[in-house]
Amino acid sequence: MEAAQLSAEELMAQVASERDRRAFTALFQLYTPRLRGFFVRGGATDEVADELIQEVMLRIWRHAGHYSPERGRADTWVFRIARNVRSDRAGRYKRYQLEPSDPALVPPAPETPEELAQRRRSAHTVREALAALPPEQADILRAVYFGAKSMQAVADEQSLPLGTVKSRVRLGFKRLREVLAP
Amino acid sequence: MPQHHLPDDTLLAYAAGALGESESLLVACHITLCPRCRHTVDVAEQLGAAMLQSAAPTPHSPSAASTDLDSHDAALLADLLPKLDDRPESAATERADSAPAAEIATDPKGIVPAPLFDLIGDLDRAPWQRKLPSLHILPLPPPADDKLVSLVRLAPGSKVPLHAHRGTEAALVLTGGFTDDAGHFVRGDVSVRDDSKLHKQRIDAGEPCIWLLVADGPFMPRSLVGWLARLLFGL
Repeated sequence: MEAAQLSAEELMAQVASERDRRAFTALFQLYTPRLRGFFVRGGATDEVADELIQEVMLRIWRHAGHYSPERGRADTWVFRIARNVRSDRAGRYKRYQLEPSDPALVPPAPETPEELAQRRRSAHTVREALAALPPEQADILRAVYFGAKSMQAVADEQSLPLGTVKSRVRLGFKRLREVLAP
Repeated sequence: MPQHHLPDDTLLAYAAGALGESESLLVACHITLCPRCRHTVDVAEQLGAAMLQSAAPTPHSPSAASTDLDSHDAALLADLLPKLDDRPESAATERADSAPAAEIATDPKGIVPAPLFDLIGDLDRAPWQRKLPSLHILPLPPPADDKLVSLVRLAPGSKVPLHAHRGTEAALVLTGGFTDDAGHFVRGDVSVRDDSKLHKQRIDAGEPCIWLLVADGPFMPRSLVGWLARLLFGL
């Protein structure tokens, strides 16, 4: 089958198991426009965006074996990598992260089959729900995600009270959660 | 399971990579102990994936993989492909997923969440500073974001008298428990106070209560002094 016809999850599996460069190229084609938009909207120059894209794609190549479809969609995994690459690049501080193999980790209650199925099919619905949000909520969510900005920074930029920014984030997120994880 | 959680906006900011060093430490430790907030972060990361997808110039192309690369991206790919065989230079700091590098130490006792264990090691061997018979403090290295971060250990059955805060203070309970006007807090629970309302805490009997404290920066040393003074003078 042509690499281009496979899902991102299937491509990821081929990269992991067979070190398949055609599958990797298909992932590059799929994610590069998204990553460029993500980094540029966050304020990166074109040159920096190119470097960040290469770094994300390198990590996908090296760590594809750590991706598990059981834990979520490939898009979400790639978002985490992009976010981490951006934080590492900023380099101002260490961003602490959950360690999944931590002995201190308290495991969740087992997921029901419905929850698992829901987790896999939710990509389109969340994009639709995002498009349907009131603009003032969507704008603030974009500022936080694209700009990696604190609520306080968003409040300062948009001359809004901090409480207003937080409540818009909570309202927008609540609506998206109802779609994503009812 | 913890009953006192972090607000959604904080969890979302963590998922978006928008939190500073100290707050991300607190969130990473809390979601280690709290499956519910960990799930919320997961949902917020799915929202991040939707944001990422919406950032592409042609967001409605379901088969974007079939479109040809433009010349710029073709050159970028050509530059990248030979690098696939390189060994990573910074394996120790490189993170793929939410999973940190393999070198991150974990607490064999399972008490201290890994992000914190990485900083302080074993609680029993840490250089605790005795402030009062019932109070020990373990200051953590000053973070880059001007917050004050420390571990606080209170003796079982002791009382923290009436006191107030300036700015925001968040405390994550690691061992033991305490009760205040907001309820009963045990391992994994977070108490977030962003008011100057006077309150007091009663530490549970049994074992020491240790919490990770993240407080707003410049005000905190003074307020801590004030807090200690109140303790000393028995107010």
